[in-house]
Amino acid sequence: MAPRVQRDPDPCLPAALGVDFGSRYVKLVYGAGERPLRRAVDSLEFFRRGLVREEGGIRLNWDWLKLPETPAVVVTGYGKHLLKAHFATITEVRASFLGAKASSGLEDFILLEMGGQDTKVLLVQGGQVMDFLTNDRCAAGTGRYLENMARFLKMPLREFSRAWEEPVEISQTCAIFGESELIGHLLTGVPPVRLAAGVNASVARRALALVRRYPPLPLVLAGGVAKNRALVTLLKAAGRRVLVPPFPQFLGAWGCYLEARQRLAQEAVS
Amino acid sequence: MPGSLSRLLSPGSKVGLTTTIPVEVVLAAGLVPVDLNNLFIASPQALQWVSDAEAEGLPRTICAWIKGIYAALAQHPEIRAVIAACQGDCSYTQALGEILASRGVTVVHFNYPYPRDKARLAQEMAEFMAQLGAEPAAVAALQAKLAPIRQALAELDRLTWETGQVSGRENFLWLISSSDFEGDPDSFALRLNNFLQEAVTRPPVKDGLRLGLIGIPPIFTDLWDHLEELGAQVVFNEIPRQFSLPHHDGDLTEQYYHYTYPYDITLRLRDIAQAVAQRRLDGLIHYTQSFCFRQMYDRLLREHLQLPLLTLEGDRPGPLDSRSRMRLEAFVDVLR
Repeated sequence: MAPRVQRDPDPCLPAALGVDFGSRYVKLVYGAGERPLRRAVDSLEFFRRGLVREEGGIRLNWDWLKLPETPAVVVTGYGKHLLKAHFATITEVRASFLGAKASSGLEDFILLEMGGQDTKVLLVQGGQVMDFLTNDRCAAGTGRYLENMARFLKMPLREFSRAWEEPVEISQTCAIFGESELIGHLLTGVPPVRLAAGVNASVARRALALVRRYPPLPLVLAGGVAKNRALVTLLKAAGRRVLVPPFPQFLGAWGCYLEARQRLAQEAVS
Repeated sequence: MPGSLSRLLSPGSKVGLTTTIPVEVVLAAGLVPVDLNNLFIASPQALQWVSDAEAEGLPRTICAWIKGIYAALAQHPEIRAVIAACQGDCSYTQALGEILASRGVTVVHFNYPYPRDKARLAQEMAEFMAQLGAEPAAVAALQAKLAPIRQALAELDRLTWETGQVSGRENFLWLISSSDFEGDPDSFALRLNNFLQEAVTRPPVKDGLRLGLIGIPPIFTDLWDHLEELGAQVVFNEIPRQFSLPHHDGDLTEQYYHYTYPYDITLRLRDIAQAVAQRRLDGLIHYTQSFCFRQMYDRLLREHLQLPLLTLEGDRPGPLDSRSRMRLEAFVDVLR
């Protein structure tokens, strides 16, 4: 991921690691300079093998990660409390904000981050987080929901994510009821691609409902769902300027990495 | 008075309250008020009680407080009468009252007029006294007796926002208990005064973020403690403060006319805006209950209060879930 604005404070400093514990994958950004390594590890696998439980807490299994150990680690996401004793942590909102600001080069934007279970909306004005929303109580419209729907329609996710024309109306946003609604349409002979388009349109509607609370600033779309091309098309069709950073699912880990680099540089100075 | 509640029940009988109503009238009738919400949430079995109520057929998609009240009464068969405030609280209370009546519980209604209207409130108050069998002179005497307790609660509130000697959680617990004075104003006053004497000896707390908690009382048990761990103090508990009737001038009608909770949002907005300025709040947390109509006020609060606002939703009683913790942590982080 190539940042356009925020440069590495000092590429000669030792390596740093940013970790984002997501619900589906743990994302890692490791290295020095502007082209660090990226890696996504299945969350369960990471919990099982990437962490070592020992007396005095939990540490990272550097051997298994095949990374040279570094003390410069910043962590965010659900697992951050586990590692709080050993590493610096930042909130998910701050991590995403830092990543989005660096990768978009913008000072005024709305970040719409749609991950495996979580949706976050951040209003950024003058380079600061002014407000944020997160989904609560319901994971409809997130990555897991889209994966379920694609699996249900027996469509590869790539194909599913391109469908946006002639959408059928999907009224249910509940993942389970959504499936029974799809059955109803399938029985009347609607082709699966139109159903996929309907699901994508319902996700776009939800996303727009969230971002419309804020001024019409450019949308930085991130999280795994940002790879859904249909969603991008539909958001643009609704009149929004949409930017998808490269590797949009690494935004939080990227923000942690930048924070870790920044802290290294500060330590070097003092 | 013939047919009144005080005739029906022996003196000293417990009477359940579904929300804050003119408690002076209940006490003047010789009855013991018990706020059923407090009975529910203080129980270690609170979560189980909600499930029990659902097992008896109350829908999953209604407010957990209503189910908690229902279950609390099932656990306390000695409470044979309930004062239900439907107008001014919520329509779930209306159906709850009817279910309770069908189970043989005596239900007396108290309705806050909507729109707010002083003459209609005075009339409601007179009818309420008659229904309970409370003499106006006895009610006035009770109001005078409770006034110093209400003043002491106002002092406790000041020690929360001005000096920080009373924590947000303590503030919440004391103020929320003023709906029924835990059934016994005398011993409540004694404990309150002891608490205040101790609190004033504490060192003042000046640092930390200053938050206001608005909306109905949260069903979460550890919200205040979690915020304190994050370095933020709740220095305004909006609705619990209203339960303590901080405007205690004038007669009983006047007092409950200035109570903001049961009427339209304009009055609440004014009260909150005043607190934001006086208490120098950095941000607000709007607590909303799942399935509660008051969730719709979120939009108006955001429009009218020019302050960062986090909306926090709770459904069942218990500690904060990991998502809510994450959101609170991010909110505090953003404010900093």
